[in-house]
Amino acid sequence: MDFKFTEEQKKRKTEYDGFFKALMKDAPPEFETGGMEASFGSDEGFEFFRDTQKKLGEMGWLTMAWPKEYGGLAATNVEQLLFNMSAEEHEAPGVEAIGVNIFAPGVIMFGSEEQKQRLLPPIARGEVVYCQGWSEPDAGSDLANLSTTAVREGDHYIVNGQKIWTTAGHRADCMYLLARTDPDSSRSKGLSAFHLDMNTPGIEVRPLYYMDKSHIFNEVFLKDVKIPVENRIGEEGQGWMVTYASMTTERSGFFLFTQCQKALNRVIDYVKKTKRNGGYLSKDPVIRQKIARIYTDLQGGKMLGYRIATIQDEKGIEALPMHLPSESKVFGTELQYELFSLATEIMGMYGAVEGVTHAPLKGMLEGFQFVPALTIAMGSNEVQRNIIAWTGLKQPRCKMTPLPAR
Amino acid sequence: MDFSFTSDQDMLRDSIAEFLKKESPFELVKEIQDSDEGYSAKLWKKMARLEWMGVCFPEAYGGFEDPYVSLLIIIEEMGKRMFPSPFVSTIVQCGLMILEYGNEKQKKALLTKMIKGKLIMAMALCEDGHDYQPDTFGTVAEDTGEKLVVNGEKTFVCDANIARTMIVGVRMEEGPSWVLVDTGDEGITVEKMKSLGGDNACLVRFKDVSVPKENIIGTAGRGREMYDRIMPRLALAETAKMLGGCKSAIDMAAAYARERVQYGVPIGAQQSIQHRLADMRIAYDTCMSYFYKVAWMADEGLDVVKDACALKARVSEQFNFISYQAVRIHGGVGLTHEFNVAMFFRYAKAAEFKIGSPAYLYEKAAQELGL
Repeated sequence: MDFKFTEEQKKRKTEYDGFFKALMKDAPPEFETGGMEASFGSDEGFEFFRDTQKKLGEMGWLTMAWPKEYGGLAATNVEQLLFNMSAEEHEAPGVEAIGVNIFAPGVIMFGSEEQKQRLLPPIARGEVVYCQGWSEPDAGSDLANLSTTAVREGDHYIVNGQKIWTTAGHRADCMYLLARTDPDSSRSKGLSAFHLDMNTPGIEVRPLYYMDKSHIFNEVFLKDVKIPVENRIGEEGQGWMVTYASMTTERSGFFLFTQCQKALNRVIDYVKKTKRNGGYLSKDPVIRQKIARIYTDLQGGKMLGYRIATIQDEKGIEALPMHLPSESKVFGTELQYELFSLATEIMGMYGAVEGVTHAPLKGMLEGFQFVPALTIAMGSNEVQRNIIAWTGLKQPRCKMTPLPAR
Repeated sequence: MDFSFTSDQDMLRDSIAEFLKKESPFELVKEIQDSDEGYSAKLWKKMARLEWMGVCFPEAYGGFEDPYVSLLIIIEEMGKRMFPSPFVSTIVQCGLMILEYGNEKQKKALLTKMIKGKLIMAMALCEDGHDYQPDTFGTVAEDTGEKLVVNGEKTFVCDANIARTMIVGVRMEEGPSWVLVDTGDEGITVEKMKSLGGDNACLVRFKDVSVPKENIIGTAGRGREMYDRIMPRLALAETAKMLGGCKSAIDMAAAYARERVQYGVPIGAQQSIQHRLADMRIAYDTCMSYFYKVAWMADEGLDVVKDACALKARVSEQFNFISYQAVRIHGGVGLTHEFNVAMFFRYAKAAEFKIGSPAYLYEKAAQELGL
C-alpha cells in the first residue's frame, strides 16, 4: 500500500504545471470565468483554444494516451490523470475530449489503415476540432432510438436528420457522426459511424443557447449531406460497437474533482478574509461544517478516481468494474452541485451576479449553472445509477414498458 | 499509486472473516447483545489463541509489530458481522494509550496480558455535558500525598462491566490526567445502559476511590495532548467498524432486492430501488477508497487529525444513510428482530457519537483546515 506519487510522476506533474502556467499568462479575459463558454463562445476564446491544441499537439501531449504506433506516448492512466489535473488546475483549454478521446479510439480500433493514416495525424497535431453528432431530439438517454439516416448511393452515403446538444458544433471542423445505415433496422442495430467534414454542403448549425446565454451547444440539421464511403469508420451496422471504443479511455472522471479542489481552495481563501455582519465567514459554524464535509467528500472522490486509474494501469480496462466510472461521474458531478452551491451561498447576494465586474468569486456562478449540464451529459446520472445497480449490485435490468396507447 | 494490501494482510482478513462466519452467526450476535456480559468469553479466548490481539504491539510484549492497517482490517471484518467484543476498548483505546505513554512496568503488566487475552480494559473519558473533551474533566483525582482519591461520574464507558481495569480521565491540580483504576475497587459502581451499540456502554461512579500514584499514566496534566495523539487512530478504528457495517447493509439490501418479487418482478427491477442502492454504493466506495489511505498516512507518521476526524464524521453520516435505506428496502421484514438488517441501523445510531459527534469532528477538521 503506497499513496505517494513516484519521483517520475512528480517530475511530470511539475513539467505540465510549468507549461500550463506559462500558457495561461497569455489567455484572453474570457478565461477568467473559464468553462466551455470561454473556449467556444467568442472568436478570441476559440483562437486561444486552437492555439493551445496545436501547442499540445507539438509536445505530443494531446494524444499521450494513444498507442505508440499511432504517435501516442502510451502514457499510463495515472499520468494522463496528472496531465488532465494540471490542465484543469490552470483552467487551460484545448485538452480536448471529442477528437482525441472519443473519435480517435474508434478509428484506432475499427478504422482501416488508410483512415488511420489520413485521420489520426491531424488530430494528433491539434489541427482539427471535432464535435459529437450522436444525440437527437428523440434520442438522448435512449441513444439507440436515433433516426438520422445515411443511405448508400454508389460511393457516397446521403445523410438526412438532426443532431442536438452538439458541443462546439459551431466551431468544429469535423463531426463524429452516428447514423442509421440500415433502413429496416431499429435501435442499436444497423447504425454506422462516420467522419464528417463540417464544410460539407447541407449542414446547418443553429445555436442552442445555455440558460446564461453562453453558446456551447447547437442543433445540427443535415439535409442530403454526402459522405464518401471511405469516411465510414468500421463496417456498416458496426456503429454501436465503434462507439464503445470511446469507453477504453481513462475513466476516472478526475477532472470533476480537480475542478472541485480549485473551487474549494478559493472558497476557503474567501471565507478566511471576508467579513459579513460583523464576523469572518470562516468563523460561522455552519460554513465550517459544510466546508469540512465537502473536503471529506472531495478526498473520497479523488481516491476513487485514483483507484480507477490504478486498476486500469495494473489490470487493463477489461478488469475495471463497470460501475466504478459511473460512481465517479455521479459523485463528482453532484459534489460540484454541493460545492458551487456553497460557493454562491457564501457570496451572499453577490452569489447571483454573473460575470467578472461585481461577483467576488469569478466563475463560481457559471460553474453552478453548468452543473445540471454535467449531471445530464456523458450519460445522465439517472442512467448511471441504473448502471451501478445492474453491474455493481447485480440488480435486474428494468424493463421500460411503454405507456399503453390511448 | 498502490492500493493493494500485502499477502499477509489478505490472509489475515480471510482468516478473520472465516472465523467470524463460522463462530459468530447473527443469531449468536443477538444472544451476546442480549446478555449481561455483552461478549463471549469463549470466543475471546479463541481470538487470543489465534493471536489477533497482538497484531500491532511490539514483540517485547508478545506482539507482531504489524502496521495499524492490519488492526483496522480485523476491526472492519468484525464490523461486517456486528461482532460484539471488548476488542476496540481493550486493544485500541486502552492499548494505544498504554503503548504510547505507559512506563515499562505498566506496559509489561498490561500489554502482555491483554495480548494473551487475559485482560479486558475500558476507557472512561466521557462525562455528562462533556462528551470527548479531556480539557473539562469533572471527575477529580485529589492528591493526598500518599495516594489519589477519585470522585466523579463517567458515562459511556464501553465494556466497564467486563473490564478488570479502566483508564480513567481525571482532573488533577496539574490538569487533565489519565490513571489506571481497577473496576473492582471499593467505591466504584458500574451500571450498564441499554445502548443500541451492543457495546456494554456503562455509567461508572467513583466515590472516594483510592488509586496509587504509580497508576498515573504518562505525565499528570498532559492528559489532553496524550489523548489528542491517539485520537485519530481511535477515530480510524470506529470508522473501520462502520465501513464493515456499511458493506454488509448494502449486500443484504441488494440480495433482498434481487429475491423479493412484487408485481411479477424482483423489486430490484424498480428504478427507485436501483437508484437508492446505487447511492448507497457510491457513499461506500468513496469513503472506502479514502479510508485506507488515511490509515496508511497514520502508519507513515503523517498528520492525520484532519482526515481521520472528517472521515469518521462522514462515515457516521453515510452509515446512518446506508443502514436506514437498507432497512427500508427490506420492507416489513426489515423491521423485525429476526431479519438482522435492522442491527446495522441500530448500531449506526450509536456509532454516530463515538469519538465525537459529526459536528464535533467536522469542527476539528475545520480548525485543521485553517478556518
